[in-house]
Amino acid sequence: MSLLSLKNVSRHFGAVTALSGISLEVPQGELRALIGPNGAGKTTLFNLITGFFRPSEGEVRFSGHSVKDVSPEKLVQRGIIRTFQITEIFLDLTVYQNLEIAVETAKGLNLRPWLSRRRRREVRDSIDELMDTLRLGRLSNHLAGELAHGDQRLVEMAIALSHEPKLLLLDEPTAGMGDEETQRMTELIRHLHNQRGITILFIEHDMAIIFDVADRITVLDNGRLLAEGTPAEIAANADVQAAYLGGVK
Amino acid sequence: MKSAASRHVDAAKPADAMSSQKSTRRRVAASALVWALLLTAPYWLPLTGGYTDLGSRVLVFSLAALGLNLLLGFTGGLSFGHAAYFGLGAYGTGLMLKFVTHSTPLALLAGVALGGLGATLFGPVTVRRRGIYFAMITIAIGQMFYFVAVRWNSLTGGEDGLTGFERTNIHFGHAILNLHNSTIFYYFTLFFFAIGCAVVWSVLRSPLGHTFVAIRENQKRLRFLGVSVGFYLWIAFAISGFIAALAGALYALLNNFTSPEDLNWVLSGDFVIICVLGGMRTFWGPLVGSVIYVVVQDYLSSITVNWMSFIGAIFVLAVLFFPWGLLGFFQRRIQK
Ligand SMILES: Nc1ncnc2c1ncn2[C@@H]1O[C@H](COP(=O)(O)OP(=O)(O)OP(=O)(O)O)[C@@H](O)[C@H]1O
Ligand SMILES: [Mg+2]
Repeated sequence: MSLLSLKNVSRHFGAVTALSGISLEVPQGELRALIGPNGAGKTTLFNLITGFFRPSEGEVRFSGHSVKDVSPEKLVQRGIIRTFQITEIFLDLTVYQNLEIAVETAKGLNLRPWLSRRRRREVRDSIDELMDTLRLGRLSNHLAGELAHGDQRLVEMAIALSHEPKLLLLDEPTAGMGDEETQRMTELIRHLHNQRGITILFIEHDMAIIFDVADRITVLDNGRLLAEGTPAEIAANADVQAAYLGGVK
Repeated sequence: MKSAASRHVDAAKPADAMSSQKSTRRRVAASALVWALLLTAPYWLPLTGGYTDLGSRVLVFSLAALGLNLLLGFTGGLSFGHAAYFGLGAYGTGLMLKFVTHSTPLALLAGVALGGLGATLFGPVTVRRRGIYFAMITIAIGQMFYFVAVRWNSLTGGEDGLTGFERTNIHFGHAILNLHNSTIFYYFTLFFFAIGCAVVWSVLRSPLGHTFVAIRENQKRLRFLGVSVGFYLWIAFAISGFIAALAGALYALLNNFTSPEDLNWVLSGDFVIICVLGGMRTFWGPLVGSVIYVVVQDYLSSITVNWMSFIGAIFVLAVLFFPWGLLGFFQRRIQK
């Protein structure tokens, strides 16, 4: 059974059809890339999966259950975590405070007006672990808003990972990053996939990364599903070449 | 490339651990100074031309603003209706003393319960809206209570206000707490002010407080971490309402009087002004703001009936030159 499944999903914004008739299956444990030119509907697809928007037609199912009328908050609790195309973090707080909120939320502590010493240590340990994974330790006391763009993306990744997602949706995780940072992010994505077995759906424009890490690729164009297959199949697909690869590169 | 540049800038900053230790020490010193001043106020106030009841007034306004600031400064909810819960606290206490009991503690409790539950009850209506709509609904609800107080003459005394009650002494076995004495009443107020401070202080250091601040910072991120923002806004609203109600209850005891003005949106606006003047992002901002507010009011109202326009002018200047409030301004100067 697929972890994520879309059946004939469409979404209109007034006269604009952002997505039309999309059917898609993402099995448990897969690392799937979502590509397509600007305005193809990639982010809109994320918005439908996370409950931010409702489909105009069709159905989205996660773990076999329909996500119809389920709030974004509930979907997070079911294990769908996302990052955003434009980084969404807590800019006026330090990196440490960013992760503190994320970890406390992940542990379901939000309502607590105080914490026992043991709990506090648990929270601190989880934060340290995330800092290690993302190599953010040196930035712990820096305001998130003062970080370089690439480091802000890492903070958002750390926030997302605090929740131990079942399905991780990454919207252009390497956009605006330098070469070295891009490589780190790529390694991280591969690590999450290989070592932790997290199912990942990521939107990416950098073909090198996609062909490097993705199990399968889904291509959107103008709101339609243009092609789907392994990197080798997509590279050989004439439609994709015409509509996308040829057009851009 | 970008990150290499930023690391270079980082290196120019002082070591983080050291600077954070220093700022903690500074904060402890500042708090110690504040408490020392508050504890000795009845002794030095007369030297500055002040009087003890003026000190109690400062405490009451600080407490109300402290409660409001939990919502306004830390959670980011712009309430222009907090006088409603302040006023309910005052009326609850006054009515209880006048019609039900002569016990000051019970009356205080009644006021806190009335105002706090009012905020808890009307919170859900409010928090469904955001930004300016949130502000407008808080005003509307506040004005509703105002009109009830004005119209329900037989119970509330209407526009003339509620009179005919008086705070009473508290008996502990043979010992008597003589609340008629201004100095003792000041310390009585200070005790509850300290409780309010302790509540806000510990909430801010807890996951609950972290959640409030996260609401202020980025609701979208928080929603997509699975947090129901509206629910936590409501909690912030309720806590802040209880504290405002406590302040209102003390205000009724201080004056042995309460009037619809204590419920009015003008007063709600004053609470907001106090927070902004002092510094919304700081813990002691509301105290600093209310010192300015109460002292200016006391001094100018004896000279001109238009004292409010002076507060307004100070407010405009503060917003122009100290957008982070007075305390926020100094904090930023020191941290640089
Ligand atoms: N909230 C919205 N209201 C109206 N139109 C929208 C909305 N969100 C998306 N659209 C439209 O839907 C289409 C797809 O947008 P979407 O953001 O999903 O594209 P994308 O594939 O993510 O593009 P990019 O690569 O630029 O991020 C666009 O035409 C866009 O203008
Ligand atoms: Mg997009």
